[in-house]
Amino acid sequence: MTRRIVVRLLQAAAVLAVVATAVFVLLQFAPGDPFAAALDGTNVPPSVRMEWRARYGFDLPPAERFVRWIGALAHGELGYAASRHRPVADVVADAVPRTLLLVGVALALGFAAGILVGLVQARHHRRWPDRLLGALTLGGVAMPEFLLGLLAMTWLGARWRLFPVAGIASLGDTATWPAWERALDLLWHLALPAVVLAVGVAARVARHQRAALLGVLGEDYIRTARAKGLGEWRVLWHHALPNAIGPVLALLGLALPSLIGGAVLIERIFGWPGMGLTLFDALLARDYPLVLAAVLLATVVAVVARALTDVVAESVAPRRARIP
Amino acid sequence: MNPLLSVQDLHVDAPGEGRSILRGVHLTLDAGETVGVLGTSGSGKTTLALALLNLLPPALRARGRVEFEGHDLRTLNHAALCAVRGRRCAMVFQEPLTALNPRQRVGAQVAEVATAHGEHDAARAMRSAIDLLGRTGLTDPGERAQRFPHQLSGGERQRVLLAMALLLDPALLIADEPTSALDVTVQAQVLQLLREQQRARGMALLLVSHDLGVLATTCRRLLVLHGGRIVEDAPTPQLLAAPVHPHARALVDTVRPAERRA
Repeated sequence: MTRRIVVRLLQAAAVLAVVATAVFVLLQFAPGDPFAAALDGTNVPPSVRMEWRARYGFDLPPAERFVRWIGALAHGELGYAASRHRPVADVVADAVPRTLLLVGVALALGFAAGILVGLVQARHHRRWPDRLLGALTLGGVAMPEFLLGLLAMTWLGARWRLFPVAGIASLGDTATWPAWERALDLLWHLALPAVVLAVGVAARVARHQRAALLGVLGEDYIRTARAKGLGEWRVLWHHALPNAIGPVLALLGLALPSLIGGAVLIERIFGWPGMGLTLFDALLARDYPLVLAAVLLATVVAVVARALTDVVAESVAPRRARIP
Repeated sequence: MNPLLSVQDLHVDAPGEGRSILRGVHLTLDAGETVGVLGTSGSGKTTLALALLNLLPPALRARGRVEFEGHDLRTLNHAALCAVRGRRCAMVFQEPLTALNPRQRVGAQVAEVATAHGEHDAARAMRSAIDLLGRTGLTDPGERAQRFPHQLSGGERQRVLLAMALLLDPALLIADEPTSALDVTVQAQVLQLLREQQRARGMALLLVSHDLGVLATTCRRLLVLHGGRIVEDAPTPQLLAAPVHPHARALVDTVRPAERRA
C-alpha cells in the first residue's frame, strides 16, 4: 500500500512537471503580455514600456523566465497578477473556495440524483419509467452545458425571475446582513449554475448506475434476498446497490476534471467569480502568470482526484481479489 | 385436510428460446412431509423449485396453480407474496458462495430475515441469528457472524444459508441441491443437519437433487422429474424396489447396478 502511494505521488509530480512546462511553452506562442493593452499605444514612450516590462521580468528571454518561474514556484511564489493589481496568490485564494463550492455542490447533487435515477430505472427495468428516464439521461449527456445554462438563465432567471441571472451575492450592502441571510443569498445565487453543472453529471452517473445495477440483479444473492421475502426496494438498496456502487464511485475521479472544464463556461455565463472566470478573464487580459497559476491548479485537482479515486476503489473492493 | 402445498398443471416456458421447461407438473405435499424431487440435469428441477415461490428469471413464463396454505402464490400480490417468502416457505440454494451477498456480514444476512418481516428488532434478530448459527453447527457463531461469506468454508456457508431459511420456522423448506457444491464429508454433515432440523421442527421438506442417494436417505416419498413432467410418484422404498417408469428404472439402476442385475 505504501509503495503504491509513493508511486502515485511520483506519477502526480511527473504529470505536474509536464503540464507546467507545456503550458509555459504554449504561452510563448501567444501574442502580447499583461502590459500590451495598457502600454503598447502610440503615445507611450518606448522607455516607459521598457521600464515596466523590466520591472516584472517580461524583457528576459523565455528560457530564463521559465527557470525563474519554476524557482519561484518551488518557494510557493505564484507571481503578480498585473490585470488585478494583486499578487496571483491573493486572487487564487479568493477564487478557489468559490469554485470548490460550485463544483462540490454540483458533484454532490449530480451523484445523488444520478444514483437515484439509476435505482428507479433498475427497479422498473424495461417499463415506462426506465424508458422515460433513459431518454432524459441521454438528453442530459448530449446537452451542452452552456446551452442549458443559457436556457436556465433566460427562463428561470430573466422571464420568471425565480433566480438571479448572475453573480455571487445580491447588490447592496450585503456585508451588514446577518450570516444566515448572507448564506441563503449565496445559495440562491448558487442554485442555477450548480444545478446546470449537476445535470450533466447526473445523466452520466445514472446511465452507469443503471447498467451496474442491472448487471448485479442477475446474481444469485439477489435471488436469495427475494427468497427471504424482502421487498424490491430493500433488495435494491441493501443487496444490489452496495455491489454496484464501485464503478460509479470510480466516476468521481473522472468527473471532477471535466467538471472543472465545464465550470469555466458556467462561471463565465453566470458571472460566478471563481477560478474558471478568473482564468477566462486572465486569458483576455493576457495576464499570463495568472493563467499559468490557474491551469496548474486545475491540474493539481485533476491529479489528486485521480489518485484518491484509485485509493478509494482499492479500499472499497479488496474482497473481490481474495475470493478463492 | 388440505395439503400444505398443491401444485396443479404447472407449466414454465422459455418464450425467447421457444421451448418448454415444465409441461404440466402436479404435486402435493402435506405438512411435515419429506418429499424428494429426482431429476437429471436439464430436467427442470431448479426451475420447479424457483417457480413455486415466483422466483423465476424474467425470461421465463409460468402458468398453473401453486397453492400454499390456501393461497395461490402465482396470483398473490407482491406484498403478500413477500410475507410468505422467508417466513412460511423458505428456500436453500445450490451454490452457497454466490447465494450470499459478498458485501454483507453473514450474521446480518441471517438476521435480516427477521427484521424485514417485522418479527424482531435488529438486536434481538441478531441474537437469534447467532443462536441459530450455533445450532446449525457453526463453531464460535458470534465470531463467524461478523465474517463476510468469502471468509467462511463451503460447509459453513451452506449452514449460514440454512440458518437464514430456518430463522422464522417456516412450514415448508425448499432445498435445491443443497449439498452438490460441497465435498462428500461435508455433504453428509449438512444432510444430517437438514434431517435433524426437519424432524425437530416438524416442517415439510421439498428436497431437489440429481442424487438418488441423497434423496433416499432423507425423504419418505420421491418424485421423478423427466422431460418437464413428474413421471413417477411413490414412497421411497417402493420406488427403490420397483420403479415403474423406464427413466426412473434407469436412475435407480445407476445406484444399485450389481443388485438389480443379480
